[in-house]
Amino acid sequence: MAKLSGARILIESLLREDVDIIFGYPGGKVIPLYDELYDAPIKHVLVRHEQAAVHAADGYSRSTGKVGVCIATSGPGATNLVTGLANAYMDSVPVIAFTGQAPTHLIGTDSFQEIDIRGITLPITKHNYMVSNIKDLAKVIKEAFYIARTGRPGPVLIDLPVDIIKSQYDYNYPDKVSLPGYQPTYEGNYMQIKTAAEFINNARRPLIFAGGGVLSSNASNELVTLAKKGRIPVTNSLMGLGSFPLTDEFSLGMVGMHGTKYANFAISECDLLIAIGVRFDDRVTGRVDKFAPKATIIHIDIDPAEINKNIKVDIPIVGDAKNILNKLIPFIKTEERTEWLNTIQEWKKEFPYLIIMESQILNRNSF
Amino acid sequence: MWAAQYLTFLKPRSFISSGGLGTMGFGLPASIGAQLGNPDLPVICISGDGGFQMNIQELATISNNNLPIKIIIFNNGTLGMVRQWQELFFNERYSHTLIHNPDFVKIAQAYDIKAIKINQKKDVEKAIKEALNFPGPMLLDFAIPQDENVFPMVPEGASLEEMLDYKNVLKETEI
Repeated sequence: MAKLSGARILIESLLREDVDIIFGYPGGKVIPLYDELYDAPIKHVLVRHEQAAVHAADGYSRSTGKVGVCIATSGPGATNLVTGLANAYMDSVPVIAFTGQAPTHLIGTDSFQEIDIRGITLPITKHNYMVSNIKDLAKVIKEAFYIARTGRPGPVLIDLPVDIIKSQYDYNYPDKVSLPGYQPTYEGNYMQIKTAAEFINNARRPLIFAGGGVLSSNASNELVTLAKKGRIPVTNSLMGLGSFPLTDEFSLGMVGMHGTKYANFAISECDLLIAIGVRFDDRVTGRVDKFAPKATIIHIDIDPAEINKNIKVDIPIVGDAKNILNKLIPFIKTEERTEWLNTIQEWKKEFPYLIIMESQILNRNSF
Repeated sequence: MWAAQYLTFLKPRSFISSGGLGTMGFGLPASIGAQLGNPDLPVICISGDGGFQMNIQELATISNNNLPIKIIIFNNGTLGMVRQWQELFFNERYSHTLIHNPDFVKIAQAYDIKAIKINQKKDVEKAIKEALNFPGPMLLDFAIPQDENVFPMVPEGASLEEMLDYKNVLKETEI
């Protein structure tokens, strides 16, 4: 294979990862990279602040399901990514951030625009790397994409010393990743799924609480099937909005601090809470000791760290939402649940969002 | 929050918002990413006047790439969510939450983006229709009351049943 520069290897690797657009802002330590981008077959969108680069990659990812990619230079460029990386981290959005870095022989000398961005972003990235040897570059990129998009998705930062991206090496994109310490669980435990199904079928007042994990897993169809087949109402966290059509008769809208009254009532009155792809954030739960007080809780989530983190649950099922729902649905019986569903409909009629009187708004003198 | 409450989302990945971190200034750049990822779909950015100014420079990105994003500003001259907490829990001591804004229409126009300001309820529907039919980026600056709050609200640390709504906070004289 011909020797390519690190910058060129990076571009080729992005093409192999099916990246067609990247968001970025140039600077001294990434000029070699931007030189390759000048006529590369990847669209680069110039933003006006690195924070916008990572937010754009984030919005791109959330709206398409693909991994978003952004670039910033070293020092202030990298530190301007911090808020956006923390944002992607909190919402589990797969984003790759490439940052320029001082050349390897100057690292640690407080050189121009040098900053320890790995140290700074360690708590707000799913993982991060500094490529200290050109021969690792392609492998790091492949691993980074794999880590970003698998399991519970999240942002991955790759710090690139400028001498690395200028040096030359044989380009060879690996076929596989080898990360023996990283083995996300996709298949839910069969017995747990069967137990959950039993509880669902016997519940008089079940409620589905669906969040961002349903969207990450592309499990919206399965969610709708479960709700319709089981005749179970559905409420969403903020991150889950869109996973279940809000105009559906079974939809209770958003739950939590600014959610609908009827969703909050449903949480308080349900006897079985089926939580899918949620993390029981404090904006949703309110007082933890008074959350869903009458319910047995099933918690389906890909991240085992979320099980029993905020709320003690009864039937945890670790794995991918789509995968688990597909196994669960065949066990679900269609129960009428007339009393519960009628109560829900009455609440929906009595407590719509907008109850303020029109005249009151017109009387406010604001401008 | 209002967008999350009142818009009826039907499809996955149609609502993009900063959840866990609640980042002001997320909307405008995120809508850039969303439009470029979905060039054939209409993309609407809904932002408060405070958050909009945090990444206002991205109007340049939108303009330069001619991204047909419709930017809706809820302009209440205040950092609304914080102001609400100050009203409800801090004796209406509005410490540094009332903001004097520049003319967003002029700023958008300086970036070559079509923009209009809407002051009256009767003009709202027409403005939105115009924006949706316009083939390029457009900014709509909606003047809204300063003390319009987000309800219902479960105060921090309260249980889900202890919701506040408008009835809890309206004073007698204002009805």
